[in-house]
Amino acid sequence: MRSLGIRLAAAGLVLALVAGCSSADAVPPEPPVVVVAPSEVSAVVATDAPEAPAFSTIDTEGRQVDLADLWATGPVVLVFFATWCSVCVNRQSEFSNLAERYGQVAKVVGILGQEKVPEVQTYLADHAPGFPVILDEQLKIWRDYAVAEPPFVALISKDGHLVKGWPGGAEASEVQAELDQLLSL
Amino acid sequence: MLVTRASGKPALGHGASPRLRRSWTTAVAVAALALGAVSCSADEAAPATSPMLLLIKDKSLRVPDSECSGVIPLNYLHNGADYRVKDSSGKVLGTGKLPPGKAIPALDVDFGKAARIPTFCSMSFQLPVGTVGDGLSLLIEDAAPIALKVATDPAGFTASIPDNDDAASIPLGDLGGGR
Repeated sequence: MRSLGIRLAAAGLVLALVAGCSSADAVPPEPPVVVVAPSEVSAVVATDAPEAPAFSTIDTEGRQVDLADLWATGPVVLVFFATWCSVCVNRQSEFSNLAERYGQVAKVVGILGQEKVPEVQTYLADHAPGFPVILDEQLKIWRDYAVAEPPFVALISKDGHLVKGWPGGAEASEVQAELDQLLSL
Repeated sequence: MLVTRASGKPALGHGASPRLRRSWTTAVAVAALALGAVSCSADEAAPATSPMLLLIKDKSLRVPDSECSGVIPLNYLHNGADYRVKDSSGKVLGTGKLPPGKAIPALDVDFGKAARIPTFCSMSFQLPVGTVGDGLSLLIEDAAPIALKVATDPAGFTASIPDNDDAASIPLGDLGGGR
């Protein structure tokens, strides 16, 4: 009886140590199902909204990004973010899914501010945004859109009207609701 | 009776002697304790630190308690930014990275139901300096040094940017530890 008690105590001690000093194995979440928006939709032009500042630059892949070309075909979502901003990181996959959902009818563009190049490379490798990312080192685009700190999201209608800005960021679902209105979905 | 292949002695089943079982369980308990000591001792060996409050007085419109960084031109004050602590002779006493900031009201004004109000961005963290004393400065990235003020309750340091007047009047304990 005494030996059983000692054995139980030893087993309990081992369990307690294991529980106290290691994290439980996390079950990886299942990837969300992205519903792609129809490719044939009519985009609303928000003529009552102010004109959005245009820019033309290259993204982190060296591709030309001309904002006026993008809004000529449909709405554009600008996501101002930073590699060190945990709110931005937590919402990255949401906006990647948003870009995939509206791939043919609306565009998402990510805009980083002053960053260290290795950290940008690591971030892009880790998160694979799935949309063009611009490195705005001089903060010109940030200032044009009055971005004080990340995250900040701006929604531009077809033909370049600034419909809405979310200082402090937005859930992708909020942006999606606005986009659906602009696309009459 | 189950017999171990190598020794020919009884295994630790019902046939083993009570004395042998006790020895085995004692060995397990000692090993488990040793394992625990090894795996859990890292925290105990942490270097000495002192609480630090960095108050970024940028009066930006934010949701109180939301995560923040300094706004332009103080945007170099952000989560993960490298800092160094130097003494008056220029010797580096420690290095670290800033934590995320937390938005706190900048004005003692009731803004009603406004979601975003004027705020400062406060950063509370542990400075890698064990002894609280005068003459220390904080260097963040490539910016100019910030003189640290000594706080007494609890013992630690405060600093504010752009000037260094208000932070010392905010008790470190009011803002809690780093986020």
